[in-house]
Amino acid sequence: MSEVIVITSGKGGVGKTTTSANIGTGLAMLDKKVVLLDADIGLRNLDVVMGLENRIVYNVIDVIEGNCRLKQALIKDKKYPNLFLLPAAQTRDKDAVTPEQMKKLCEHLKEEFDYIIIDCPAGIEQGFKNAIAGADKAIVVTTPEVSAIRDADRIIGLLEANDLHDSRLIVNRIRVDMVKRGDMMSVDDVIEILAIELIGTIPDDENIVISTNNGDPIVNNTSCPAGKAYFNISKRIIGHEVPFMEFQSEKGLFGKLRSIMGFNN
Amino acid sequence: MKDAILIKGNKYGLTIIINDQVDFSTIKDALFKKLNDSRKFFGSSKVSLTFEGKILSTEEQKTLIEIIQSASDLDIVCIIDSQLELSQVLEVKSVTSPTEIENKNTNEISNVSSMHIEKPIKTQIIPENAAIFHKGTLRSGQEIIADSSIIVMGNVHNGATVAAKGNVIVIGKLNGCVHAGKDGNATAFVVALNMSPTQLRIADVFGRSPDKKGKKIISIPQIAYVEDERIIIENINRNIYENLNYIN
Repeated sequence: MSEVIVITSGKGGVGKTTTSANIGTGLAMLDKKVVLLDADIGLRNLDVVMGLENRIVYNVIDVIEGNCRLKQALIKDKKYPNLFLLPAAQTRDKDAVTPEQMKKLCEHLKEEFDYIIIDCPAGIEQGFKNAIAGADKAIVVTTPEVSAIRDADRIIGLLEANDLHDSRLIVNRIRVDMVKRGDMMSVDDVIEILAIELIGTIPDDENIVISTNNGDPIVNNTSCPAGKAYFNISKRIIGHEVPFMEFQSEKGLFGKLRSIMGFNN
Repeated sequence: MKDAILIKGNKYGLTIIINDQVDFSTIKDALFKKLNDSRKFFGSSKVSLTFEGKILSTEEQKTLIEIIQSASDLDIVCIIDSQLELSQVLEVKSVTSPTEIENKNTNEISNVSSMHIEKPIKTQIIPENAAIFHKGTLRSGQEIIADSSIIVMGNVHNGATVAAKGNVIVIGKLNGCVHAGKDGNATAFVVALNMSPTQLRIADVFGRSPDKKGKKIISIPQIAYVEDERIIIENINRNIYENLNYIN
């Protein structure tokens, strides 16, 4: 049974593309056949984050317009033979595709792959409508900032209006020290505001910048917290029960007590 | 043969089911016997009475009440017309007016009847289209506008809008913008379980949330209404309802 998952946020720059790349790679690491579909036509990034930019010959527009076969446009990942990328076109814009065409494309991809991960563009216009058209599920990415949360709330409303009801939430760029000082909203605060179910939290980690620039998703490096967090999310997507990580620079008395007693929230 | 009298308990007190086929004097005897036999069982609790099975005249009811009072120690608080649904006890038939009653029980009964004669609870007929319901959370960018009152069963998030000609009731958190009485009705009100709207408008009066927000908002049901051109928000208590109107 294959699944189309759209990664969306509303606001730009919260980590949709990074999340798409890492979840896609994580699922491939778990032996699933995965395709990453970049729906950000005109502002493609996913290929760069995946380090596959130099291999693009055909793109999603070529497939939709029939200039090439689907197989020709799919780019195989460097590391995982069961991971593919269907890149966006850079020379066109979002109006070059209609939601119906995207739906058809997703149906087509479903025959081949276990998971289709769609990287949604920022905004709520045509690009967003295209990206969610064929989706079965949605993952909403937000950061603990009011602006990102406000946009996420709007997005969740729009997803619901399009019959995508159980969206899951990723809270990205959590800084434990700031949360502790009370300068940043905690994950619980964000969930309280958005009232949807959490699928994972990603700590703020400078390794992400490094790995993004290298075109190597951080999930490959599960020794760093962000990589581990993304891998856990991938596991949760395929239905594993993974306890939520506790990111703590140093444990307080309470934290110590909790870990002694085996609590893991 | 069926019993002349059956006594059943209900949520509010006792229901006395009268056999239609039996003449009134038998009923009186049966009632007296039943209650007297189990005087201890009924005790002196406060009850409401309902007569069922036979339509009684005022005189007959009065007689039966007197029997009940002599045969038991029950404290009759009121008499409920069996024609009405118990759950919506709206009006109590004035069985006895204070002047009609003499003898030893005067005190008790006049107490009963005066309670209901002075303050009859009127049935308000509320028009069908008085309010619309919305189930679910209203998220940023979503809005409900209605020519009636609006009841939201869910939260109203920041960036969502609720605008009604009538009142707005939010069974949940109210964080968005809300406009009650949008056609200028200043008697409209807004109720929320957790009142912290970004903007609150009632008719032409406008209020916004304080710029400095408190850390934690205590969730107490609150009501907002207009008084002297200003929006007043206060905790809901039972006195508040007396001044409220529904608006159509």
